[in-house]
Amino acid sequence: MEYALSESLEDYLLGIFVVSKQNKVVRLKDIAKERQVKLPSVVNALKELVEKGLISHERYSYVTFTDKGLNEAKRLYDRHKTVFKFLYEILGVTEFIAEKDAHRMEHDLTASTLDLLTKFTEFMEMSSKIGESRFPEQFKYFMETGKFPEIKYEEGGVMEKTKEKPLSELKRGESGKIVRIKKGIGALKGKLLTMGAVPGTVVKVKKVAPLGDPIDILILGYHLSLRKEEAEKIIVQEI
Amino acid sequence: MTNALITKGKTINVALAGNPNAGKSTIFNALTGGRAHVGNWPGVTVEKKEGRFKYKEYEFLVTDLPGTYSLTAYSIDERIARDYVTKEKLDVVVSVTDSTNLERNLYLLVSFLELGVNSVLDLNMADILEQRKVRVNTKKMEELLGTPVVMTSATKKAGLNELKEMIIRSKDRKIQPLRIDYGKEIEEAIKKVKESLSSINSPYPVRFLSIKLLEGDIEIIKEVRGLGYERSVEVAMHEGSRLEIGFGYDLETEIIERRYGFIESIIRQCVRRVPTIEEKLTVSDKIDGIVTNKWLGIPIFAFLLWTTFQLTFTVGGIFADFIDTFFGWLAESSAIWFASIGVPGWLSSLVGDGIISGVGAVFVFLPTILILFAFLSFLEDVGYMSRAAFVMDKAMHAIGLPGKSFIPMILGFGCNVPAIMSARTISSEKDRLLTILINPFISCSARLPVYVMFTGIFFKSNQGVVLFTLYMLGIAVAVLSAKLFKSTIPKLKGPVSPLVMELPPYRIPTLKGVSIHTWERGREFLKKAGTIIFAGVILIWLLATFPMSSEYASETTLIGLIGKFFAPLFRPAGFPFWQAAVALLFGIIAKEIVVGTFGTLFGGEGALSASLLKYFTPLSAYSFMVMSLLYIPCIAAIGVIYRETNSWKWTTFITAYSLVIGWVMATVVYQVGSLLI
Ligand SMILES: Nc1nc2c(ncn2[C@@H]2O[C@H](COP(=O)(O)OP(=O)(O)O)[C@@H](O)[C@H]2O)c(=O)[nH]1
Repeated sequence: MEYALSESLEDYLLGIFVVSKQNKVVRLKDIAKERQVKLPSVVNALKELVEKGLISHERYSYVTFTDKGLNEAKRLYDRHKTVFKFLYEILGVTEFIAEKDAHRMEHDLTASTLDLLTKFTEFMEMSSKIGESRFPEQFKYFMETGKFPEIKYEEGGVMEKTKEKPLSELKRGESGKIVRIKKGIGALKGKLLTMGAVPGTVVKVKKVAPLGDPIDILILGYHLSLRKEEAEKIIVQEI
Repeated sequence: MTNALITKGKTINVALAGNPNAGKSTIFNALTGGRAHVGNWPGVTVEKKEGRFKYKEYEFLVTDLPGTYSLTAYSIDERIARDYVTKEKLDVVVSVTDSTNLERNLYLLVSFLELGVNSVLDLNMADILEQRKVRVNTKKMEELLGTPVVMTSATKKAGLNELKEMIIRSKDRKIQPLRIDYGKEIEEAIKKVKESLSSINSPYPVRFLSIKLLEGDIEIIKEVRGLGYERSVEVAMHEGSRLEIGFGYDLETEIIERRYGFIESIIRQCVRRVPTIEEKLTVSDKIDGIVTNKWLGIPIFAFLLWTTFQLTFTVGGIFADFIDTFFGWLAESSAIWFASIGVPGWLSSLVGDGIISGVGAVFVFLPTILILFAFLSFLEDVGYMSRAAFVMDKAMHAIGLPGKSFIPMILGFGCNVPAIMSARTISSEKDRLLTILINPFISCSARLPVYVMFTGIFFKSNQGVVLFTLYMLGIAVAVLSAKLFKSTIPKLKGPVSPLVMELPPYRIPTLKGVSIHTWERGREFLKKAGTIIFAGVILIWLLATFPMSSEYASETTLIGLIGKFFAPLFRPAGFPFWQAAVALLFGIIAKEIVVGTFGTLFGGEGALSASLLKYFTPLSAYSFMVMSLLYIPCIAAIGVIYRETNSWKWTTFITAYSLVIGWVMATVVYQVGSLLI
């Protein structure tokens, strides 16, 4: 490459790309907001990016990418997304940390390590999609219980072995003990937890609505109705 | 000056907080005698109720917080509650709890105590506890929680004086935030985060901030960041992920679980004989077995709704007709009387056609609104409304709305005004807004006279079919608009909000509770929407009167000129004459006025039918009915849309949108029809 971007310029390029995906036009103040910096810093960074031929920006107008800049930004964006996926989906760290650490890893890891990490993430994604390997599933189980799952490969997944299933699969009249709530549902998880759906609580499916959804569960002595969509996120152990 | 100081010292600022259905409104009404000032929390459409009362030498100022289960950042309601108790100068927060379900109800109180809020715990529904022979050791509870405890029975007005005394006694208490022991590892993590937060300037206690950071509470993270403590957020994240691996759960789960553990231990120590779950729900369960039954659930819902509908619009209709006739008579008599004492015609018309019909236009809705909300509050207080949402949820989900929007949709067939008001029970702001915006397309009963007039003249042999197509068209436009809005307007985008809804036990409502609620809605309508309706009527009167040389609403008045100006616009829709445009303009006051306007403009009842036949073809009559159905919500609907959305932006948007849709649909009908015929 005939240019080497410094760490912070890469961040700016990425930031501009993110803004351009959200808004029709890219204004200085949007970039400042995205990067959480003051306007003068943005102006300086843009000047450098213009010099490197990555973006064009006339005074008082919107920021646009050059072809070269767009390619570079896309590359950075894809890389960021993969690293983020690795942290968030595979390792299961929280969204917030994943965002932060992804950022650090991009800059601090050697290119070859990053490449391998990308490959690994793709591999894990495929294997969980195809369902051939039980690797991702087993890893999740290990993370949540600290134990290595005993596996028989013939039938069903790991879940079946431990008698764990989503609440949505309990039938009317069946009870279960909450094991955990799945990640990745944002604030809903906190809402369910604060309403008493903490691990160890026993729930019982009391009714199913006439059209088959939502369901009514008894929890901590009160009735709570959830759509199957939400109930799916609550993992219970049958009792 | 000194006087003001003294009274100030004796005002006690109290907020009521609690889970939904814990009896908060009942306590509020019992304390204040039901006299409340109803407004909005700043910037949002969540209702805020305030009231005052005197007890001994003190003046109490009571604010009713939105019903919440906790103080997370999950919904606006919870954020309002949290901000209010921390940032406002409150003397005491009364935590109203349903003492028959302490496990869940105490969670909110514990959140307050951890925040260091000066709280009084009110164990409400003590009468039910007594019936079930459950004893609560309040002394012990006070000790363990470090906060005063009172028992009340709001519906029986028992324990209220004790509550007031307790508020007075504890108003100047020095508070230490409650410390729950979260176990060694978490406590160490808390300590680390706490150290990194040293000398932070926040209204929240440092320990509370640390715990919330570890829980990953988004609002608190923002707050701490805003104060320049980015590093603490990182420390918390780091500690969090370190501990998570050990626990096998994320820290949020772990912390909340321990909090519940703490509550459980309190209950174990203070409550004698917690009745088993099965035992305490039997009656409710039996009712639910019928009401949400696979086969009976929907028919029962349909029947209840049909009854509500019938009674509201037939009984309400009788009163409404009476009020209408009364104001009509009043306008006429005033005109006669004015003429007899020689008052100029314009003034007489201002009073008769303007002011009196303006007031009439507002009051005409009152009986319907009162009767309807009496029913709805009754069903709500009984506990049926959440069952209705439960039963209908899946059907509504298909069109991108939650179960609770079914009722407003159906009520729209009677009148869009109370229908829009009834959307208030939908808790997600996004869903509520969407429900309100599509409601005007549901064909209300005021459009019926227009259909009847035209179908009676042009579609004598298949009146019913034509009517049916119009109603279906309204529904289709509503559903498709919902889809359209959901996919284009950022604020309305996204899936239906998750359903996490309590089905409260059935209770026998009190007459007082229902009547206070009903009257609140009626009064609000008069105050907020009423002014807009009145202003609208006066505006139309002005347009129809000036210039004064012309006859009322004739071709040469402003309204006639406006009609003339717009008439060509309706050429593609098949009715390009000024009378139609003027009728539509008048129809904004109330859709049925379209009929009366044609009557006036085409000279009396007898001539009407002949003139309509001259001006309209069956096809243009149909396109005109389509226009009347869709073109603009009536002024009253506009008024309540504004009242309920609290935003001129949305009100203007939906008015403009429906005008465009009405015109487009009428044009499409006419053009396609012309090709086919
Ligand atoms: N038996 C009994 N019922 C009560 C008591 N307080 C409230 N209720 C009933 O509980 C239901 C919910 O009360 P409400 O005040 O609307 O609850 P909110 O949602 O917290 O405002 C109503 O039907 C009340 O009549 C009480 O002390 N004893």
